[in-house]
Amino acid sequence: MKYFANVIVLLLSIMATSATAERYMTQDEFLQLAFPQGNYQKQTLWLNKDIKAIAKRILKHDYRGLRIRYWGNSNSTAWILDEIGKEHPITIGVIVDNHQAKPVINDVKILEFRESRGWEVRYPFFTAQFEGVHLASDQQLNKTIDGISGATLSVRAVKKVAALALYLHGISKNSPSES
Amino acid sequence: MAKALPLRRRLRIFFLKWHRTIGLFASFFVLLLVITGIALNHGNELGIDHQPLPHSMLALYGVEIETPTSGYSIAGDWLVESQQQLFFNEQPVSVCHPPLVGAIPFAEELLVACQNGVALFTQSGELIERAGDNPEPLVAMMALPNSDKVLMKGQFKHYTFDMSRFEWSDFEVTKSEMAWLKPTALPDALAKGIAKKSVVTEITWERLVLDLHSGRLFGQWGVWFMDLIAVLLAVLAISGVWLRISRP
Repeated sequence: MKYFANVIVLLLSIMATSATAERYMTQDEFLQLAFPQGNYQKQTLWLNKDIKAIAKRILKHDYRGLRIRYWGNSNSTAWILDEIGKEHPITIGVIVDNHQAKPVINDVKILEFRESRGWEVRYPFFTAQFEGVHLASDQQLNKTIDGISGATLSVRAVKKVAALALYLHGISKNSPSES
Repeated sequence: MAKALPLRRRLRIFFLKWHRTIGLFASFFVLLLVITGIALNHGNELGIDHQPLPHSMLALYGVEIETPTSGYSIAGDWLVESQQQLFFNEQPVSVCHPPLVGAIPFAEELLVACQNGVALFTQSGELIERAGDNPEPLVAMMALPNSDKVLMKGQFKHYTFDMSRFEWSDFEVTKSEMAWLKPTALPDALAKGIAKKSVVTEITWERLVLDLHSGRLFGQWGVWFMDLIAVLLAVLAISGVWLRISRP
């Protein structure tokens, strides 16, 4: 009986700690969510030195890449960005709307999660906190997002991507100040 | 004849002597535990959780980095995969899960494919953009003539990748023999240079600090030794409390 119990514990620990990628949503599904009418265009944002400097301030590290592709129409943009949690990238989708001449988050979705822990960030109890959030003057989110025990680094990654998406929307041609 | 000291007094002398001796012996290890413990508590802020150990320290973990033997040469520059990093000549420029499937010049840029996806680089090796959402792990690649597309072979199916629109499409291959890109032998000097700069991203400074904290860096004996230090700290705590409450 003791041997059997030990085998069960071992199996459960292997299942709990094995780090395999979990895809929760495809790109197409995310875009379908962001633009149910299908009215969007694929667009490109080139990152100059100034934009990269602000991105670095938001992410607390350099953004690797010279351009970002996103999807948008006159009112909304959808961004799919990767950010490292602890060791592996988390693929995060952010939908940003123009609301009263200000970019605000409509939704945040975890598309793919590759860490062995911290996956709780994909649940609505966490992501729903981002709805209606916008950027404060220091490029940080204007609202405190409650963390999750044991998922500190994943929470941090999602917050950084949300702030970055808001900033990028603000400088894109879909922003109310640019249109 | 001298009167024997009371038991309590004798015990105090005994505990005081050993409390001081153990305290002196354990002091270095206590400081080590304090420093490594604080570092572990703030690993993310200190950056030690993602900074890999330098090449010169990998011997501590018995890791020997294999010298890469092949890569893809484009206009005199080399794209090489080593330890899950993509090297542009001797510079690591990106993550690349092996195999490095191929590299193709496209307009004034370079398209590079690894098992985990596709990325576009400038001709000087700076990352422009990484394509997300590749349908499955990639195993081979070939250019399609007079086209903005490349043909990719996944583990199960074939795809085209549009280098302008950065989009994947399914593709039916009808020919049995395909001219997939193949790597070529690396010049020796470059191979050695890349090996010297390669790191194992999973072995971070945090790993080292944790193994120092637990004693595991010195094998099972190190672990038992740190267990002994922990026991001695418990003895210090108990003897310290006893000495305090038994003061005359």
